[in-house]
Amino acid sequence: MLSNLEFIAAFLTSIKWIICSLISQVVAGFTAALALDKIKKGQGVYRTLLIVPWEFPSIVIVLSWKWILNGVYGFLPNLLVKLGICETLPQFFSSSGLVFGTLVFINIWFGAPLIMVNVLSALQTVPRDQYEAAQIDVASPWQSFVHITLPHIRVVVCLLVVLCTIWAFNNFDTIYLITDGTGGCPANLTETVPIYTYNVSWGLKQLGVSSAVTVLLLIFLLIICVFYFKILDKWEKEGA
Amino acid sequence: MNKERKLRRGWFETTICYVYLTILAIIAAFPLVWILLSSVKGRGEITGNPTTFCPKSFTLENFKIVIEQLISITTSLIVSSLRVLPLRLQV
Repeated sequence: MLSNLEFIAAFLTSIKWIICSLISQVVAGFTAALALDKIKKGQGVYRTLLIVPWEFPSIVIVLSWKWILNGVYGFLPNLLVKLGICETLPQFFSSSGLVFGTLVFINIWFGAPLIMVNVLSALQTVPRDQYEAAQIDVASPWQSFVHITLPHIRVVVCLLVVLCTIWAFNNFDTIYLITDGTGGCPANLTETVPIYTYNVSWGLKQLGVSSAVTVLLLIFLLIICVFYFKILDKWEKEGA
Repeated sequence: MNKERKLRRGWFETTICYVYLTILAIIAAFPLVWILLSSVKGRGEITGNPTTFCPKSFTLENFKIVIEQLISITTSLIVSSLRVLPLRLQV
């Protein structure tokens, strides 16, 4: 199985998928939380608006995005053409250069709000008097961010990273529904390991192979989790 | 002088925060708005080419269909719960 090229390709796609969606989710959620923490007026309104994507069931996410980004009558492609950004209608789901980016974008759109809310609540527990002390000592905003904010919230962020890694790795429904279960429209471009497993087991009826893949998947996730929790343990001991 | 500069920078930062959050909020809420608007669009408007953002004709026909289905489901819900309830009470 390990010499199976398709499996290796799916595994590499999965790694790419995790790295892209994890980094961009964390960056988007983190910056949104920092911005939300900074403003005073309308914080509640913005928080409510930004948490909207997290409340969508995955079938509604897929339905609405497929509809908005549809290559013929979708709203966004037509808008891009009208604004003169693109000459022809961009095919978000079938052009080989765009489909992966579209999937990552939808995953960010779905996943970033959770990170934002959690980081925001962590930010609000940071004691304010430490910032005042930093201001008296003429610390730059960057310094007070690195030395006060980060140590307080890094445990929460690390836990979120663990969760998001697992969710991104196990993400099946969004990718499967958007690519209509073909494992990526052009040449299996978006076939991650869960989709590969499904296709092998119920498409090719090779249940043994797919079980073996699933066990490998479990081991891989366990290794990642052990790695993360080691870091978390170390940080908590430092904090105590 | 120094204080004034600090104040101005604070104002600048807040503006950037608001702009950033507004962009994010538009992206985040867009599909919801889209679904809401599409639910009141008239026949054939959803799949029209090019798609319009605002509905040209306002209709509640789609909601009527769903609520009618919901009523028939409610009937079966009532029936099944009435069937189950006595069993629950016995325990």
